[in-house]
Amino acid sequence: MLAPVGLAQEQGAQRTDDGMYLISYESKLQPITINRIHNWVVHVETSDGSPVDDAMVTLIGGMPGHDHGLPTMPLATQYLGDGDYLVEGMKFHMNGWWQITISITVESSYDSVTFDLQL
Amino acid sequence: MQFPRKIGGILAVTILLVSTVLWLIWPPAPGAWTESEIELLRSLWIGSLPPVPADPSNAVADDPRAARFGQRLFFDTRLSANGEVACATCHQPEHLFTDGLDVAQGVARGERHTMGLAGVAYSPWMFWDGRRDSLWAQALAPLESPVEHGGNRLQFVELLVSDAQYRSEYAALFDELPELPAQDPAITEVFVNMGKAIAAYERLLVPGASRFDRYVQALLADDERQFEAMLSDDELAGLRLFIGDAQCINCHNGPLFTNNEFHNTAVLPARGKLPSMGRVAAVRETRADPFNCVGRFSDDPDANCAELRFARTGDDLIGAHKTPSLRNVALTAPYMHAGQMTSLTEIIDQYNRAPLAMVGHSEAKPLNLWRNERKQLEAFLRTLSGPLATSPEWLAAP
Repeated sequence: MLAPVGLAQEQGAQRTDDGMYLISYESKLQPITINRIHNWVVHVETSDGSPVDDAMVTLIGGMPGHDHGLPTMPLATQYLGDGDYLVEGMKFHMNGWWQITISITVESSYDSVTFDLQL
Repeated sequence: MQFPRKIGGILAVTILLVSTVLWLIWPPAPGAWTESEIELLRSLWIGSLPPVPADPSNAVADDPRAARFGQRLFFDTRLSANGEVACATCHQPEHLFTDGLDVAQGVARGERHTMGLAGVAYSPWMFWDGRRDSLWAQALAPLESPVEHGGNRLQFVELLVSDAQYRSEYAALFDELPELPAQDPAITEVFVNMGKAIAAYERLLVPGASRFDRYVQALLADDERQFEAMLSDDELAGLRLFIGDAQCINCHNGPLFTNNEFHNTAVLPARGKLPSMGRVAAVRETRADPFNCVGRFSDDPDANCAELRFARTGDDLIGAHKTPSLRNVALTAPYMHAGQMTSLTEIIDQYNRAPLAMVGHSEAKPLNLWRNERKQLEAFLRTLSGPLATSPEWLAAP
């Protein structure tokens, strides 16, 4: 499988599949380097731009070309305010095409978005 | 104007023939790299190896006195049930801290192939399945394993107490040894400190430059005469395969040629043995280990312990074993977690065919390399040999 062409290492905000939220992330490790465990901040806002402060944020990832996931199980451990969630335990152990799916659950509603990432 | 079809045909065939002949006479230079390939070469170069990462769980990790004490322990056969087995029995300095056997031979025959120790301090996980999360926690396990040293912590503390040099070295680093008979937790504290001293010693074992590294160094310095002489065309072609079509660099990445993570690549179990479950079974064991990063024996109660806290298990880790370093791979046969492969040719054939896994799911896909390409890849792997960058005083019993 080939990665989509021309992927930036980090992209801007992406709308979730059902259009409920606008999601962006920022890696606290710059540039993202393989084999180093680090944190991300995931930003969640509604489509009209208001920060979402009561979401359950989950993140999974993997390499579609290699049929394996992230080497770690990252968790959103802290709400930082202003729609920002601290996700600890991010780690990539291979260069190549990764997909990261961020899911947002608020009460009984659920929506998710998948980011492509080329390392 | 209508171009005569016949002339067009002859022209096309001529161009094809001429370009084929030219390609045969002057194939693309094997050492002509693109910028992104040069970055990959730099990432594998020994000069990209950072200092050994800190271990806040071990207060004596970088204390030279602890390393000296640990070196003494490492080579001491009295730390065993039969007085014949030291760490150095399997981790032999003259064999780059391996033993040349399929599986380790301690007081009995083990299950796993002995891993080399050069660069071990860079790994967040120890053992083939990563069931320990620090070098000192790892060092404790073989000491009490019934097939390795076969000893027990009380016996070890008795030995330390009975040996004047150990007594003074220990007291200088930690505290006076307890009066015997003693009980836990005093006994286990001493046992843990032994592990921390052995770890301080092992942190000094780091790989040195190989011919491949001298090639990259000359390449980065733009020293054409140097780098052209360093690797043969076959070795260069093998290097190109390593970072390209053969996909070795996917897992054997970075200056240690390993990502220190776990992969199922359909390596068959040792003859007559059941397949090992590998990583999938080990995470629970590490979480339960009293000597792990979040346990009471860690020297830093505020340590982040991110690797342990966010360790993952899952179906894709069934049968997954740690990627070994490829530095000195030509000198450290046999290979794989049970020493079930004896030659580099055999390993390259395995990855070329990429059979289905007996358990779990193999990540490897067939490479379809030609026979001469497989030989070139092997030729490249043979350029990764080089002596450790560790001072010789550490490479023998003190």
